[in-house]
Amino acid sequence: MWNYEKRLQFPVKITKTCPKTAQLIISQYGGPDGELSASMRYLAQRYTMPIKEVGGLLTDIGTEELAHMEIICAMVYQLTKDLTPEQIKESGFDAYYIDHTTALWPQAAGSLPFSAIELQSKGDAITDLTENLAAEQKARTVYENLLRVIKDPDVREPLKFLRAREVVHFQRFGEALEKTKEHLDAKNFYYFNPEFDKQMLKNKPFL
Amino acid sequence: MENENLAIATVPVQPWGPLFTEDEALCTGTIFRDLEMSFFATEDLPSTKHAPATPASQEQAEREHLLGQIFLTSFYLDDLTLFLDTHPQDGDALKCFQEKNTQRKALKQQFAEKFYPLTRDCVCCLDKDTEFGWTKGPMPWEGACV
Repeated sequence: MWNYEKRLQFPVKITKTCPKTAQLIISQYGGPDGELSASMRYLAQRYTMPIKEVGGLLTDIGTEELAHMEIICAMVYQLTKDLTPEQIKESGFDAYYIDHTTALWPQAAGSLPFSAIELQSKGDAITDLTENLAAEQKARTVYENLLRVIKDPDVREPLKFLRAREVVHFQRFGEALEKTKEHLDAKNFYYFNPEFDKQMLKNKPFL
Repeated sequence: MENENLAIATVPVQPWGPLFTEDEALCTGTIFRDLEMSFFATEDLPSTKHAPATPASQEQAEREHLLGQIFLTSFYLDDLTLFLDTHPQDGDALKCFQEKNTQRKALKQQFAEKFYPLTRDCVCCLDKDTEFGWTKGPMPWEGACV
């Protein structure tokens, strides 16, 4: 169960609207490496994770990703507030506006809709944790691509924060992978699937 | 040795180390100095915060100040929680967590009493409340309050 806290994890206070920037940032809402895909990935993977602490970490990072999604949405919302039809047309935001006005809808910068195809929950602890390490790196790259082209400090500060979180999450998933390895055969980590062939795990940490 | 295994990713486990202050941590995006890995294209940034707009009232100034404290302490706990998830027996982290957790509880209670509840468990915590407190205060995405 989740409890809502009526604040963002990092403050967003954008004074200048810019629909062009909104259209780029929206990728971190509904794009392939966005926060929605991150939260769904981790929150889906946790149920079958054989090591209890790793399930706990997936819950906590998945929850933080929901808060990141809210930060991104707040940025898109503030960047597109009170736009005139002229501003919408000039900025190239018009195609999005036709379908969604200025409401939030999860899509990539290139307008592809959010899809669960962008994430994986494979049912193998090593595979899933390796996917998560890659996911954090991909999200970091997107934030860096955004930071190269966006100049408004009100927008850059939250993006910088979110980029830094990807690095921290990478470290934690790496530690979760090390923890998982401790329960496997060090000579051959692929001898069995720790998530399916649980009877073969060392120390039965899931019991 | 674990680190010598072929055909699998290896990430060294982070030891407890020097921390940022609350202020620095939120700006940097981590409490751990060892995990600060900046990106060259952000180095030209003015040292972090945008110049705060002048608050419309004394009340708003007070509210933003207190909420700012809650942001800082809460983020410290967010990052500590992830560290503790993979280091559940780290004494330094546990001590720091307890201290910040107590601090956050008090700040949240104080904010609810003075302004509005941030979480449902702070709603209607006062006898003088006559309306549902959960609807009070700006929506977080409005940017109106910190």
